[in-house]
Amino acid sequence: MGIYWAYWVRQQPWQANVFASSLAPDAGEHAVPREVRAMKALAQRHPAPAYRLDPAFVEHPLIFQRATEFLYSFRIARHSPWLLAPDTHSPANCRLIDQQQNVALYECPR
Amino acid sequence: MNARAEIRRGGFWLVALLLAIPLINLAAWHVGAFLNPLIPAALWLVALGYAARHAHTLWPLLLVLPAFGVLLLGHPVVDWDARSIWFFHAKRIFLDGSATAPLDNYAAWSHNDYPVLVPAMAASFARGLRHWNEIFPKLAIFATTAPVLLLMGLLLRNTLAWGLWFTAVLALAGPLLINGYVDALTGLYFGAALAVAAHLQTPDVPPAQRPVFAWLLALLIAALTLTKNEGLPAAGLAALMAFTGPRWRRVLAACAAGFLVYLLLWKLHVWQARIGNDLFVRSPLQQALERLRDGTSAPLILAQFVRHSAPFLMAALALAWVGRQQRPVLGGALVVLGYAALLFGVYLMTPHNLDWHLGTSVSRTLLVVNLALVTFLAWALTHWRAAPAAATPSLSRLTEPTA
Repeated sequence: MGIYWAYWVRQQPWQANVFASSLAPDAGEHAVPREVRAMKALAQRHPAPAYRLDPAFVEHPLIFQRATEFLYSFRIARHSPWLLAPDTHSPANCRLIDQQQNVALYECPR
Repeated sequence: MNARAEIRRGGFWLVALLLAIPLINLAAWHVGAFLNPLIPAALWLVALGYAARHAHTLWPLLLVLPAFGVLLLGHPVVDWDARSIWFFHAKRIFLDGSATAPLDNYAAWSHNDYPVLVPAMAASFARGLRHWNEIFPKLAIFATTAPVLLLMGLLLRNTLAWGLWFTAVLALAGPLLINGYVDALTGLYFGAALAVAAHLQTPDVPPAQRPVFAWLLALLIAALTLTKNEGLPAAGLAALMAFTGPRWRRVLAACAAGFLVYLLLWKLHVWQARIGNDLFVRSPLQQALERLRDGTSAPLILAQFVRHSAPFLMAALALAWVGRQQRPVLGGALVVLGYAALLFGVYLMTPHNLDWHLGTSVSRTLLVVNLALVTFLAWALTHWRAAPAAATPSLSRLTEPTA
C-alpha cells in the first residue's frame, strides 16, 4: 500500500517552488493564459466597472472563461466602452488607451 | 462504558465538529462574516494529537493528513470546472462578501445554482490570508475531505482495512481528490453517510454513542446536499435507507435537520434568485421517452456505465445478494444501485447532446457511485457480524420504542 501511495503522489503535478510561494498575492497566476494576465494588468492600470472582449477572445472558450473569472471583480459586459482586443486588431472608431504584451485596451465611445 | 469506548466516542464528536466547520462557515458568509481559518487549523492539530494518541489504529493519518495539505499547496487551480465553477464562486464570495454572490447570475455558464460549501470555505482561507491567490484557497479541499478520512479511521477500527480503503480511494479518484473538483468529495460524503446510517442500525453502537452518530448523519446529509446538486438525491436515498431501520425517529430527526440546513443555507436563496438548472430547460420526461424510443441512446448510456462502473455495480449487486439477510448491508447496496439508476435517468433526460454530456461528465458522475460503494463496502466488510438480520417485518418499526 505504501508503495502505491508513493506512486500516486509522484503522479501529481506538485512543484516545490509553487508550494514555497503559496502565500504570495500572485501565487499560481502562471496557471492562467498569458493574454488573460495581460488583460488583468491593463484593467488594474485603467480600472473600469466592466470591459468588453473582442470577438477573437469571446470565441476562444479558454480565454473567455479565464478572463471572466481571473479579471473578477472587473466584469465582462457586452456594452462596455472599454474594449480588450488582440494588439493585431485595430477596431474602428476606437482610441488606443494602453497595451500589455499582445493585448490592447481601447476606448470605443457608443 | 469502558475507557476505550469513551475515547472513541470523543473521536466521533471531534469528527462531528470538523464536519460542522464548513457548514458553520457557510452560515457565517450568509451574514457577511466568515470562520477564521485558524479555528479549523487548531481543530486539525487536536485531531492529529488524537490520531497520535491512538496511533495503534490511526497512525496512517499522521502521515496522510499533513501530506494531503502539502500536496494541495503544490499546484494551483488549473482544471476547467475547478476554475470556471468552484473557485470562481469562491472568489466571488471572497470579493463580494456574501455566500449568495453567485446568485446575481453573472456568467451564467458557471452554473450559479451549484451549492457553495467548498467555495465558501475557500473564500474563508483567502480572507484569512487577506488576499486571493490561485493556490492557498485549495485548503478548502482539505477542510472538507479530511473529516471523512478520520471518520473512516474510527469506523473501520483496523489499520489494514483503512489502508486498503484509502488506497482504493486514491486509485479511483486520482487527481480529482486534489485538483479542485468536488466529485470525489461528493462520493466520499455519500459513502460515509451510508456507513454511518448503517452503523446506527447495528448493536455495535452503545446507547451512549447514538447521539453522536445521529449528529454525524445530520452533518453528512447537510454537507452532501451542499457539495454538489447530485448530493441532494444521494442524501435522499441515504435518508430513506436509514429510515427503514430501527431507531428511525432519531434518524428521521437527523435527516430532517440535514435537509433543513440545505434549505436554509442554499436552496431557498436559489429559489428566491429564480435561478434554474440547465438540465430542466425542456420537458425532461418527454426527452427521456424520446431517448428510450430511439433505440440508441439507452445502449450508449449503458455502455458508458459498464465502462466506468461495471466492477462496482456488480459488487453492489453481489453485496445486496450476500447481505440480503442483513438489513443495513442490503439497504446500503440498494441505495448505491438506486443512485446509479437515477444517474441513468438523468442522462436520458439531459437536454444537451448526449454524446457530449456523457463524454464530459460520466467518468466524474460515476466516480460518486464507485467511491460511495467502496466506502460502504469497507464498512460492511468490517462490521459484517454486527449487522442485524433483515427478517424484521417492515411495519414493526412503527411499534418499536424509540431508542
